[in-house]
Amino acid sequence: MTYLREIMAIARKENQMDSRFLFQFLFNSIISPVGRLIPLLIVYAALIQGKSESPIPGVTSDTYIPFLAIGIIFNTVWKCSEQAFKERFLREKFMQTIDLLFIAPVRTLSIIGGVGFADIIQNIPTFIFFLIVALIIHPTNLVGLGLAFVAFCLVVIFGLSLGLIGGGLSLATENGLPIWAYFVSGLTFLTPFFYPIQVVSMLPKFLADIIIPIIRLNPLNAGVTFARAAWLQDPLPWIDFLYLGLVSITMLFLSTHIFRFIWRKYGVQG
Amino acid sequence: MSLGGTLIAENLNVDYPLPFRLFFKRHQRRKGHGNRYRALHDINIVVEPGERVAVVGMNGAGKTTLFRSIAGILPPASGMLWISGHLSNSVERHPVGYMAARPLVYRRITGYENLRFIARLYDVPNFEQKIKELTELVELEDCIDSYVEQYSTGMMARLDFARVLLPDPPLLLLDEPFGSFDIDFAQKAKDIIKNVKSTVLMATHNIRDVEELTERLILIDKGRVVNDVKFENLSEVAPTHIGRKALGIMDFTEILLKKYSPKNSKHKSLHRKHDLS
Repeated sequence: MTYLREIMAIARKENQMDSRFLFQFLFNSIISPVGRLIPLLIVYAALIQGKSESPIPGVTSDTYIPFLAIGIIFNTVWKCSEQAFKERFLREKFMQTIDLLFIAPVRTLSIIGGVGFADIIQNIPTFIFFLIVALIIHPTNLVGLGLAFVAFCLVVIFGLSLGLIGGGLSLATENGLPIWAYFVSGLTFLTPFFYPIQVVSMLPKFLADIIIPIIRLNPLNAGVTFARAAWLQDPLPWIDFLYLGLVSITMLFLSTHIFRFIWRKYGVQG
Repeated sequence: MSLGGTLIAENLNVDYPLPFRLFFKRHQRRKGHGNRYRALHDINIVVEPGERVAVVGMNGAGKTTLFRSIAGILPPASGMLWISGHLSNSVERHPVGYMAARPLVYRRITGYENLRFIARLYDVPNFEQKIKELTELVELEDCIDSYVEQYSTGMMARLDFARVLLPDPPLLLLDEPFGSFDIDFAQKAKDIIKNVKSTVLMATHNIRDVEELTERLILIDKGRVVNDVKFENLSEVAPTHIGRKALGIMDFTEILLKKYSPKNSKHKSLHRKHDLS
């Protein structure tokens, strides 16, 4: 009950602060992802639409819209959850209100849960909007929808866990943030949010030999691949699902320890 | 109001990082420990439950650093801090009411939402009623539902004062608390502090606040406790150059004259000895 109370208190406050300017909130939730999606839709439509055989392996004229809709949901959720702590901690550090959170006898897991829950609420408009788009274009069954949602939740946990390390760095030493940003960008590019993994094998062989194993090890790839398979009712890659679950839960505990270590050693600096 | 908590600081050391510079000019060098310098050195303090202590020192002496460390914001480099038997950074510890020189309130939400957040976080029972009472106490009834960004500095300080009192903390850390209040409310706030049962540590430069609200004085200079006296023995602090400077010599002389009448032979000798008259 204590955890729940603390989580709800933090989440409520975060949501009140996030939705202080409602238009900006909705813009970030829906219009901004749509803006990112439109150029991709145009490219995919130009390459695939009306052709008997798709030049892009793994995507057909029937599946490219739900393919991209699921990609944008996961991409937006990943971006938001990975940046949730960093943005909030930096904002509170500059406003000097971060002390409020740390003088309260509140558990680290409650802070993670509160910010995470606020992040999920912030992503609900994005999720619902693109879910409806995907359902209209390519309806799926309830099981597919449920499994895709579980994968979505695991990606949120993974994103928040990694984001917590970024959040710790933003509090303790912002010198670490550029290096962290490169790591996160690398992880984002090596996730097939907007391209099927099969196209990577079309790269020069030496490059494909390096990149494909990295992508396979990327838990985000496992999440997107599983959600797409569940949605499009392809054979389900359960190994990917288990791998994502294992990494997400492990990362949650690992990042909590790393955050506590950074916090205890350095406190708030800057 | 809860009973006061005990505070024990044991060989407390707090470090700050040095600014990163490739080449230091002579005036930029500070005696440090590697790439850090020590802001607090071997602080040993025991504050009994319900005791009211003034923490006095010149700007940069380490008062705020000490408070931030007690509040659990700054991790100690070494040493221990115990609040009512719990380590200061453990979640089991009792709440600490820390009023910083700058109000710790969220500006993008309303005053009421700020207080409700604190109430939920600290699990304050019957919080709606308590917020109402505190809002009336700090005279913010008319604007409690407005965004804090629209408040004046004094109103933010009042909200901050309500925030500190809301969880009924056994330990109050007040860092120059009356600076933003008008005269009437400053007096009201002092009356409120006089009536709380919490242990109080107050950083101040005002000798009248020291005399009115506290019974013990801890003098800090360059991160070290240089004097720790009960208020009856305030004269012990007077002769030191730092004590006179930190408290403001005019105020201090005045209080000495008022408190130790000329009939008191001991006081006369103090005047002769230190030429304070």
